[in-house]
Amino acid sequence: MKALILVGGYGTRLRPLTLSYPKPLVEFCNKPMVLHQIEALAAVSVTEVILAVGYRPQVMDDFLQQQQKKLGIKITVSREEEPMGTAGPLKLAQPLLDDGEPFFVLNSDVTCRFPLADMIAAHKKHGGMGTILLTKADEPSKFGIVLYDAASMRVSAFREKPTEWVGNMANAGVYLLSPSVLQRIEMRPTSIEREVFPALAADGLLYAHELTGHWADVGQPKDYLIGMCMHLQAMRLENDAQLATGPTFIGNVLVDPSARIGSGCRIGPDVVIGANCVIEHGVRLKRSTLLPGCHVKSHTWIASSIIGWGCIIGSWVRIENTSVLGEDVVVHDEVLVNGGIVLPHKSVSEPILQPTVVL
Amino acid sequence: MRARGIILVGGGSKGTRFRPLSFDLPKPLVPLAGKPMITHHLEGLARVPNLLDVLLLGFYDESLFAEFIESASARLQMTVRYVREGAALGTAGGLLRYREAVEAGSPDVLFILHCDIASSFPLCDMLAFHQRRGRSLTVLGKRITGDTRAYGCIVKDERTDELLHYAEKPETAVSALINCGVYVASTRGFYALLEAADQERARGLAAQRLWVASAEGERGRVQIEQDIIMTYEGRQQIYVYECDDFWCQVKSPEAALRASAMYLQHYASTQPELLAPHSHGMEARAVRNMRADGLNYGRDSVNVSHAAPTFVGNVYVHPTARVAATAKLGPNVSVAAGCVVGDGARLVNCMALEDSRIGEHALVRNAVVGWGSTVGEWARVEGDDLTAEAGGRISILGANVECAGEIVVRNCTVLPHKALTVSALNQIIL
Repeated sequence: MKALILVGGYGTRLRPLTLSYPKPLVEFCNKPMVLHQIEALAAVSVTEVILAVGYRPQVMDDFLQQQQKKLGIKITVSREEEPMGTAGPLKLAQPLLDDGEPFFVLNSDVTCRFPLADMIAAHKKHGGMGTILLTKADEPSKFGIVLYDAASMRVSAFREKPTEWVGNMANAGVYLLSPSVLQRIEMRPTSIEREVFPALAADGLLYAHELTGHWADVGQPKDYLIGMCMHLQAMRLENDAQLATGPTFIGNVLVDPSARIGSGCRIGPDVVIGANCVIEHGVRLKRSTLLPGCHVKSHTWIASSIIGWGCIIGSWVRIENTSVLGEDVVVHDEVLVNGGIVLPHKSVSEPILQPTVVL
Repeated sequence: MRARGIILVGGGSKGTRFRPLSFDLPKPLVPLAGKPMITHHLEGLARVPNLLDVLLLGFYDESLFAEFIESASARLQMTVRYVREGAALGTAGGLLRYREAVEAGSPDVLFILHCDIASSFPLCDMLAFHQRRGRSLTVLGKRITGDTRAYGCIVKDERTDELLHYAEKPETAVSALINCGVYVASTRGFYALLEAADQERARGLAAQRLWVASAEGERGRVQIEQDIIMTYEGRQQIYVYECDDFWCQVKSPEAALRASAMYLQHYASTQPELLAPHSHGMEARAVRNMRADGLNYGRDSVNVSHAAPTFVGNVYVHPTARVAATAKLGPNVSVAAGCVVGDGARLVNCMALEDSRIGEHALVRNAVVGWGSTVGEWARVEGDDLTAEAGGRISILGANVECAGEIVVRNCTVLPHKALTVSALNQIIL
């Protein structure tokens, strides 16, 4: 069985992090984003994963080489020369993808507990050409809403970002498609949600599968943090032994074993500390991710922020309000950063009082 | 030559710009560099030879000063008395009305000091100048750079030091030399000017038919600046002693922080034993105990004799304050009696008034933490950097304010007995 992951372009929404690494390689809960998906696919015996990318840096190839060996799964890259939308990359990858078997298509920004085995079972049972994963949306107007029959699960219509109430089950960006779907896609930039699926639905060939657990699009910093909280809670419900325990930690906290944490810290809820991070004494962390190699000095307070690779955060610093520090940013002692988006390799010595981008 | 000191302390309707700190204490007693504002005046006066005593002249209730007078008199071994004015009589009105008290014991000279200033009080030098060159009144003057329009501006004869012209808070620039609000007066000559000025005022009021209507109340109001200096300028009565020592007005909490910095710097040369250990502005680990009794400073600082807080620049810590060994203080920090500064707290350019508590890992900068107030752990109470920009705003917590942990209070004024649980920016919190 094969799968295609729609990675797309430069990941501009997740800048400044994606200025240093391609989005699939940005760690989410201490694991490169795309690896969450590749591992889920490997677990249901997918043997080959094709990454549909808009640009292809060497660092990504190197990473995929490594993972290929580690997971015993073939990983290939299909690069589009021009943006092909969400369906075009499938057509482009058809020679790699089409082995006569159904295949998965995953949106790379999505985090959830991928119910891939259930989807395979459902697909076999209903005998249609596509199975689409749906998740309940709080704000349907932000999503593609899918209308379907609750008994047969057959999809009747698609409504993209409806302004009036039509339903609240949204396209979760995870599909299982039969290869014949590829025949219905033209070789041009085209949208799977707007063109391919509505046509399949009209022919009664598309079926829905409801997701029961959490779901989040982690394509931008605010949602990345929301998704992080959900992912950690899911780990908690699964009694995952990786979650930190002890008096220093509150709620769900994930700490890489190579990280070092000083005395008198209070960490959590909802914190991820990456590999080789050093947290000195009396540091307070809440609802934040520290990417690998960060150094946080004593008495500092960080909440609702993402701290990029190798950042050095001084003493008595306060960082909050969805601040995102790019790679190798230095924040001087005692500085306040309120909603600062700081590009890589910058040094912050003056307070950032209001949300600002520091070039 | 006998001398008497007079400090014009004003009254409760004054000092509104000092709110919220002046709600809980008369402005003259608000601490600067760990000492009540007018203690600095008293220490200056204590250096004057043959000083009879010091009168505090004001219209506050005398009970507010009783405790202060008792402790200050005992410590400085001088007589300090409070003379209560019946009403606001202007800067010189009280001197006229309570002339008997001022002249009792026949002092030859009077040192008349406004309370809301910070100065090195070069009173002995002023006295020498007054004896050498002065006549009725000698004014302490200082040349400042920048806008002088908020001050009394002086023009003097550069050869004789006589005061030739005076303008109180002029609308346009008059001179760079300003009146510091510190005077030395020859008792007899000064009262002669005062009486003449008062009579002249009375005649003027009568001519305007105001005299009958407002009677005594209006009559006694005489200002040293407008009614004496401006009347007798250029008449060989008033001279200027110019001095380049530190000086500033203390009319607001922001100014109090500036004044504190000046006094702390002054301690470095005059009373270095008051400053926490430091080495010329460089960061240095303190090596001696803050407390002679070796008691525990903070929760985890058990090994006190080998660990002490880090001090940067000039820092004053009252002997009864407890500062954790992992805290870092300075420059320009005053920590008053009974304060507790927790583990890993950071204090910069601020005052922690009596019995306030700074929580673990908290940061207080460009701020005043009022009496008995609490700053929670990892909280941040901050104001603008006053050295960087003019007209900046600091954060001030009034008395008994409770600031919750982990919040930011920036450029806020918080009135007494308020509990803050969420972050606040640029607000006056009632």
